[in-house]
Amino acid sequence: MFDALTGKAVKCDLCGGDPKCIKVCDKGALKYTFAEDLSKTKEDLVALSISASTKAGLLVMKLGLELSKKTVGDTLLFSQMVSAKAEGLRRFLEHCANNLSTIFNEAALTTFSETVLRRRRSLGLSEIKRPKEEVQTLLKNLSSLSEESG
Amino acid sequence: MSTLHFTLFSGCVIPARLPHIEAATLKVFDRLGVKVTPLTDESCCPDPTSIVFADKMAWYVLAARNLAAAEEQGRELLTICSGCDLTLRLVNKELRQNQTLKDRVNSILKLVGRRYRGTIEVRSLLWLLYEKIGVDQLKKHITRPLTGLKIAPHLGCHIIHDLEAYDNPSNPRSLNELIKVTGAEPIRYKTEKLCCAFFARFIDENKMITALDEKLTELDELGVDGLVTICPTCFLQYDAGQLEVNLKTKKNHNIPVFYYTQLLGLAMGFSKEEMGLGFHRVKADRILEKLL
Repeated sequence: MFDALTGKAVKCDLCGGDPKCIKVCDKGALKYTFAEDLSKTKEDLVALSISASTKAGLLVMKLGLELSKKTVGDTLLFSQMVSAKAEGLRRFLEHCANNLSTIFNEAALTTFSETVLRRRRSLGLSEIKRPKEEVQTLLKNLSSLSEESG
Repeated sequence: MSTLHFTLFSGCVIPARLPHIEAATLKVFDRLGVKVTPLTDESCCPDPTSIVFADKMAWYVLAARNLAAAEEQGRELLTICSGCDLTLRLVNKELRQNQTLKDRVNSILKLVGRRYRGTIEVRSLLWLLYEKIGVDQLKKHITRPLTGLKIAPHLGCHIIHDLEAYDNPSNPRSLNELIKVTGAEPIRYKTEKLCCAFFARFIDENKMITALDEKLTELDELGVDGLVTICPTCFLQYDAGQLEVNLKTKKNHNIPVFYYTQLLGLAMGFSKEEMGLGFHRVKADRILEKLL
């Protein structure tokens, strides 16, 4: 660091292990800790960001890459993924939006294949009936709503 | 303890792709005295990672439909999938806080004769075992402690919202404590919080393989006996996904993966057949030799 009194650059000696700068920094921006613990804090932040990734994902898609870089940092897989393949992600989401009814019919309503049903029976599990008509009615009305508002 | 009775939301991944986990979980519930009644007319939650981006209103309405159906059955709604838990929990919370949104959702639900009221809680498997039943009570059911096994926890990302109520989200310990209950040794490791990268599957498969490989490599180095998770998607990623990683990287990872209730069930004396371990892609024979 630069020592204004002597006009020379000096090396920080950590005040002999009890750095005074930490004590005077009342905002807590400075921290004297082990590198390991520091990366752990970062890990925690990353974990929290990932936890919110499903939620943050929505924001990421809408607000773009800058936000993800700012909020979750470059070490986060999700952020890297979005940065590297934003176009792919956009296409994927567009695909979801364009094929909602197919997705709901095939995945959301979970049409169980005969193999699955057989396995469920062999495991003594209950039959599963999905409320197909009810969901389809809702989806139909949802799309007419969005057409009206769009 | 008074009788625990919940409405069960099983989701789609477990009943369709991992029914053996459903069967194992129900056996463990039964032994623990937890009664569950399936949710009648259950549809997809819907998924909190794609549908929510594609059409948020559809996400609200379909989740609210499930919640409304659960309200009709009157009991708290228990989820066994972290994805379902996240969707149902968030929608329940948002609709309770936002009357305008709630009215709009109800105006659509009315078309199928449903009404969301916001009268029931969404509960997770982790909450049930760790917070409601608790480790002391669980310990009483252990008849075959998994002593000597080193188990790595993988909590997964969706459940972290739920942790706020009973654990520290930035340094969770609930799953570690639950592993300890079984007599196994929970290990802490550097890539513990690395996500299962399921979402990357649709976007950048190489990144997904790298992420899976990174965790599996560390677990290999640490010589763990298994990985345990409470999320079916994470389970699929590390079980079936492990074979994909081996194929792509020419490595030979061989780490058995368990859904938590399977591990607990083994410690409660259930057989590997009863816990459905034969359906796993990475076989747990190595770990079971140590045990039996």
